[in-house]
Amino acid sequence: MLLDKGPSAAFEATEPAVLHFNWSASEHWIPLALTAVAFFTWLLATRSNKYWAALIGLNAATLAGYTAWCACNQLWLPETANDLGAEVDGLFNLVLFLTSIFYFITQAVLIYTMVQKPPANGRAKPVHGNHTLEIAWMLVPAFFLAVIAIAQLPTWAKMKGQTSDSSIPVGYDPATDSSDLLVTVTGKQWEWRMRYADPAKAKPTNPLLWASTPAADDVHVVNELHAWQGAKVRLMLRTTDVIHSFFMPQFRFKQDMLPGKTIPALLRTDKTNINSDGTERCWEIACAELCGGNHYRMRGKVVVHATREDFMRWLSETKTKQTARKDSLAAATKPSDTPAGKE
Amino acid sequence: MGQFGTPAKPRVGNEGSAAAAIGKLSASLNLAPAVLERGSKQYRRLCLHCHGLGGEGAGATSGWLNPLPRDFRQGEFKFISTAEHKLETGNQPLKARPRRVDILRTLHQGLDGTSMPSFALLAEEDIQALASYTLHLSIRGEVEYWALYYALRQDAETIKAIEKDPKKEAQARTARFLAGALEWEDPEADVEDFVAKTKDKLLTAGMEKLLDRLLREYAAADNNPIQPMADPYGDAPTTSQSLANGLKIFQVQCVNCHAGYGRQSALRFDNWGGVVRPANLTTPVYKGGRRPVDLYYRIFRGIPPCGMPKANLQDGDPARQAWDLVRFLLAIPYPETLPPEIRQQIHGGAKQ
Repeated sequence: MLLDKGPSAAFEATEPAVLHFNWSASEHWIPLALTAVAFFTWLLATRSNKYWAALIGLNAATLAGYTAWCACNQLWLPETANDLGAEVDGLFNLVLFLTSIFYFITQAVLIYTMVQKPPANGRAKPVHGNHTLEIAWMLVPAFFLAVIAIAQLPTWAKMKGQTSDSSIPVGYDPATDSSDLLVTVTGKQWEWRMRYADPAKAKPTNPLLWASTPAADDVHVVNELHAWQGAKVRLMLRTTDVIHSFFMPQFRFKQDMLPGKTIPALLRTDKTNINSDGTERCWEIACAELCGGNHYRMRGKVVVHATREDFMRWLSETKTKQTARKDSLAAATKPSDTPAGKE
Repeated sequence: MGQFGTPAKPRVGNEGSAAAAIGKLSASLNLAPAVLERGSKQYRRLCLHCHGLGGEGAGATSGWLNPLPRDFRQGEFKFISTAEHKLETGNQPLKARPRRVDILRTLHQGLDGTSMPSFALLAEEDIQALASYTLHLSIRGEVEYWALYYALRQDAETIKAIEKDPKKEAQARTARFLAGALEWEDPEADVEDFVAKTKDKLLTAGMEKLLDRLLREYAAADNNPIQPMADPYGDAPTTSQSLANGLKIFQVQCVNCHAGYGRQSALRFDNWGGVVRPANLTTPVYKGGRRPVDLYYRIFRGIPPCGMPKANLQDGDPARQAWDLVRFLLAIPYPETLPPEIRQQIHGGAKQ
């Protein structure tokens, strides 16, 4: 059942590294049941303000309870895989905390006004034109918005590479550049095409030019971003058609790809998703911008190898396949050997 | 006709004694009902909106795509690695069909430069099942096409048979269909004898004949891939002599269609009535795969449904010429790797 697993259960160690597109049939009752409950409570609530007030209170309590339950059971946010993760989560929690306070205050005011006795003359006391109130509800939110705006500045700067790594396009020097790996990600309806510069070779003198004109020894891969633990990956994000958004939840990384532009981004991979027993936790790549009919198909995966050697082994294997002058697939995929054939 | 079931319960061939051979063949091609059912489910979720329910390439989104999604029903595929298979008996040679790995490659890698995405992140069983279902749709489409073709054609013999007894048009057409199916298999076949033996099960028997033939073609393709000639240069890097040879062959064999190295190729029609453009070879986008062996297949098998003929290397050392051409094609998108005179010729004087 969906609720048993929670949103991050798909990323548990036991799960195979395959993306699941299916909801099982038994899970379809959840939205149906919720709709039915909502309908009947609405029917009940329309009969009296008191019922409405109770419903609003119940709603707030349920939300708070469910949120707390998820947070306590590690079902809240997916694991973080880099230095930015904790900062982004911190900001998220800060915003959630601040908005929650005001959510409960407004709900309480709402319930209070609904359940209190009507005044003797039957008319409500108007607050329209009350200067003190108006100044208060401008200044208080302004203060909290300013807090949020200032609190996110360092993270934003770090995320957008505006600190010491702001070397593209101005001031990039392949000799002093600190990145370990250069990957061009080209979004396309509906897949991600990745192109790796060989990290064992000299870096391209102009990565922006390299992003649009492939080199002969680049390695081409579809839908899989590979790196190694502790690598600093420089991504060059492009698109061949419409706007896509490259989203990697574990890295708290989300960047739009705009037609006609090459957008550089830096990514640190502090954690591996290869478990000690060799299995792989599924770290997903998704398109976060509705990009057309098959937007849902634009999924990929990130593999962070444990060591640079593992990564280089994978890269050279992929390159060997890419430069094959013989068809090695033939023997391996005869029908009788296929998994489906054994059924 | 019941040979292929429904999208929810697909199968190949009827159950029963007459279809025992068909059952065996379809099992060897991994077309068992359980596999097809799984494939059909995935197909209807992931492929249907472009390729259409029956594989006719006219799903809801197909109109917005260029190139158009493949219509599987003719049993023709562009990116395959088999050639026509000649039979010892002198009957019609078995048509070149895709190997299973050809379809799997497309499912895994997608077709770069088109709207066909990669499905590599599905479970391997699902990819295998999708490959099986693609075969199912092709075979189904082709059997239905030929059945209709033979049943509806207005050739002199059919018209004569109908005029003889207009009330028995259906029987006459069925007999013509069967005769067509048998001729296709064996020009010497004794149609009268076959008709006398099968009587009222004529149509089913004719369909089974066609089906059997198609299944044998697909099975033969799996066992008879094109064997690429060994690269005489081995793993050595491409030399400028090799590039010069490749250029020479290109200018004789390829330049008519791939004008300006494909930059100025003229549009042409393919077998499905769509419009195709011979590839621009100065960009490293290869629909059928970027492995050298993929280019070898494209060159030495051609892409018949699009009118691309196979290269014809008769003189001298064919292996050397073949790999010179492949190496040349793999090098020309990268001007910085070319010797100055070849770079000048292909990319002009512009500074790269």
